[in-house]
Amino acid sequence: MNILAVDSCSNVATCALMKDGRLAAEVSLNDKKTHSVKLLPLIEQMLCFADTGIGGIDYFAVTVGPGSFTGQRIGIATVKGLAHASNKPCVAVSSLQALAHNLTSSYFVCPIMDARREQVYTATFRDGQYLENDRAIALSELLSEQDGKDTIFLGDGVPVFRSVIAERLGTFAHFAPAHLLHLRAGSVAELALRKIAVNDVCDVHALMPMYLRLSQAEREYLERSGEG
Amino acid sequence: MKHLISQSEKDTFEIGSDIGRVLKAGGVVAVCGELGSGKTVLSKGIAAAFGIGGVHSPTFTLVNEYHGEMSIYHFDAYRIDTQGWTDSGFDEYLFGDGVCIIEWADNVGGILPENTVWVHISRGGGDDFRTITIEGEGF
Repeated sequence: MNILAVDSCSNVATCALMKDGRLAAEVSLNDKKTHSVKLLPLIEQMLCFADTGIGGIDYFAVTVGPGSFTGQRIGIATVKGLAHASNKPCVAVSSLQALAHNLTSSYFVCPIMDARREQVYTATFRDGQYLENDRAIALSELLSEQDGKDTIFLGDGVPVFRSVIAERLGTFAHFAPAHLLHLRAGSVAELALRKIAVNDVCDVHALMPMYLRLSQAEREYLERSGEG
Repeated sequence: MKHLISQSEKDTFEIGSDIGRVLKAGGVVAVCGELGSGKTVLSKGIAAAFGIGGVHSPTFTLVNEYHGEMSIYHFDAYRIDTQGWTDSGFDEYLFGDGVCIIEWADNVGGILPENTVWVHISRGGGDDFRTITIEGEGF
């Protein structure tokens, strides 16, 4: 069983091929946000090197969010097109869960994606299990929750907020090393494998982006600027 | 705050260039003024400060992108509100690597960042006469 996994929700464009549970190929590009230009060639090249045609893919897995709205759409539209043409099912994976899946720890694991205006898309994990679901909150609120708890942070929010987090949590703040910091499609493929085992798959037409909106953040912002 | 007088299209363009010269990556310019007041001319001037020519109105496309020594993202928010702005993913441009110029910015004013430079163009005193007000960091 072959799974093609794709993600472009954040700064990274990444794809992976999993063959019968073996991670056969994985490509990750973290340079400029040019996903609309580079994602398809990345997939094509990777499959070429892995001697696998698109017709040989049984499941198409993709991160459906949260993250950059534009990025989510690029990944989902790409996978929709491929899955539709080959008439194969899709697997929707949370970008935050995939990030957290980079490392499993008995510490708290908080993937954070920069949602701008000191807000983050985040979730909380421990031992690979969700403790808090995907949500959009102020970074300060998350840090209050994690105060006094050993927490590993990862995701594209780390380079942006690293010093703020370290200052607030002190020795309780830990950061994933560079090779585990960003989303990897291998993690998406591995989660997809688990979902396929319990038949948590969907038809190409049912595959939808999961937008987390900063309604609260926006309201506060409006109030602050005197227009709320 | 700066109050300037423009007596021609050329003056408006030059004022735009002056604004462009103080902008850095992540800069946002909100341009307000009625139809035909010179918002696009001013935008062209801003882009020219970064060596970018060929700028045309984003009225139909909503956003035009120009990539040179600096990336310029030129928006027309006439048909957009704050919800539409966010849903379109336009918000993601604001905190990026380039300069955003937003015409009809009054429509999305509430969610623009604090470093936004606000430019108001108003007519009066003859066909080509404009009063241009600039507010924001560095002005």
